[in-house]
Amino acid sequence: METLELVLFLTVGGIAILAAVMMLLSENAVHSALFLVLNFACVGFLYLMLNAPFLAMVQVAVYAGAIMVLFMFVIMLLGAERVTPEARPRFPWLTRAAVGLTVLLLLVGGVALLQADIEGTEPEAPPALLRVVNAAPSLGEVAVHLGDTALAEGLGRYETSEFVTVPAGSFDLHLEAEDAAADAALTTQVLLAHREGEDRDLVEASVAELAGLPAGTVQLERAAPHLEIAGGQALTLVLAPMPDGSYSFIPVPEDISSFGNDRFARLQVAHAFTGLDAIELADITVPSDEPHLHVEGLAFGEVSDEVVISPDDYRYGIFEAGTVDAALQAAGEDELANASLEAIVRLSEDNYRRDSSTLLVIAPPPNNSANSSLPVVVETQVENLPAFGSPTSVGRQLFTRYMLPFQVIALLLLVAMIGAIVMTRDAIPPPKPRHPRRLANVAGNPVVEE
Amino acid sequence: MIQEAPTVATEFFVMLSAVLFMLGTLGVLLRRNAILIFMSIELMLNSANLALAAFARQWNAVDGHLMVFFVMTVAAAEVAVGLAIIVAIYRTKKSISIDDLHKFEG
Repeated sequence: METLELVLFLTVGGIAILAAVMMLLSENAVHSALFLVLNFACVGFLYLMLNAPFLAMVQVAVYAGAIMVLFMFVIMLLGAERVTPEARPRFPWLTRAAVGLTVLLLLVGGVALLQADIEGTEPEAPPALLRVVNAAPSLGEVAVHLGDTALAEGLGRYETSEFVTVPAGSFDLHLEAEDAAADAALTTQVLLAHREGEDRDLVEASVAELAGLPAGTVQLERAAPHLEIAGGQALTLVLAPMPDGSYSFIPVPEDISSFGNDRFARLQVAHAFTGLDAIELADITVPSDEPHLHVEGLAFGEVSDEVVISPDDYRYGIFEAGTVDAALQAAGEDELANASLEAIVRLSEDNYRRDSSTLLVIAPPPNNSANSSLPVVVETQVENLPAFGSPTSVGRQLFTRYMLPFQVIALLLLVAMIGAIVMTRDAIPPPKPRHPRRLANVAGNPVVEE
Repeated sequence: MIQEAPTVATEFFVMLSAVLFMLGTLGVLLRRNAILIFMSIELMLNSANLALAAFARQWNAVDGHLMVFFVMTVAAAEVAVGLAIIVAIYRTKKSISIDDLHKFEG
């Protein structure tokens, strides 16, 4: 695969260089223009290899199309295919000097390029996207600050904050809660769920020790330990009550890059309810003896891997661990359809949009709930980021960060248009001033002086 | 978010871009036809664009693509005005060889 791409690059690059050389050597300007079109087409192909489909499109349409048509039009209009060669070049040494200097330039550039070690240079880490899910109903509204950045303010129970862009780095995490249960020992900690490989142990980073919390405190403010954020990731912090009565943030790293295929949706499950041992995500399209489990035995505090599901063809449900086998075996096909299966949540088409990432947080029920073992499912959806170099991503940047340059460029084009008109139009002689008196004389009528 | 490792190194694209730029420079210096000189300038702009796109992939930043977009727009404006100038000169000189242009004075 790699060699194929390299061969493709060398072939297309070779054609591009050959076309450029032929453009320089052609005596006929029309041939030169056609070779330049070939060169532009090759460069357009190389843009495709560089993950820049939008540029490839514009390259062919604007450069190889519009601009070269303009060139061709002027060449044919002026009949300037050939320039009559001069008897003697004015500077005979210029050819050799120019070729020598440009080859020298190329050599210097090549050496500099090899010294520079482009591939070895790591790009600056892009900022991270961060948001908070409040899955702790007993805390009421919470405010979460990361360093000086407010991640969420007045975030009610089961609510999700918007994504906030924060630079990569290490920050202090602050939690403020209103209406906290008086006896709730509010300690915040960050659980770091390791998702590399199969090892998904919960690592307790550190715990802020609290002492002497007065009874009936309305506003609690505690600083959590540092949170390390790597750049370029989308991270959801799920605020959840711990078995010991304290509160923790469970970080959920999310992949929100585009599929490039809108038939699929991405699903992730986070377990934040201590009342359930483990949960499973199962395919419940048809009853079977061995149900297909996408997520198996997800314990409290754990986050599942991303599950890619196809919403059209299958139906899914989240179950308490171990119940799905019996339920599916007992249920007939009708019962599956009639939602009589004991599921924590059944996923319908409303639960996911195409080409988006959904996070389902299994949260504890509210304090006054009748059934204290039935969890609440907090559902958050995020539209996937547009793919790198796609028209969507270029357009988004163009109409946000690059709005002013875009306007300036548009103005420049307008000025160029007017300039072209002004320069190429014929000098129109000013119209003769017409005098009413002389017109009267021409007609032979007597001039009446007033 | 996870980007596939590029299979063709960025250096290759930058090298190709340098070679094309060099050919464009040679065209500007050696050809006598004003339209061909313009085409060579287009070739140079295009090779710069190729380098920009290659670095945009290297740094995983779409800003490079926008820069290419702007360069293309400037090139279009430049071609419109430049060809208008050539047409205007052709009207008076009946030639587009740049050797005839230095007799402009007077």
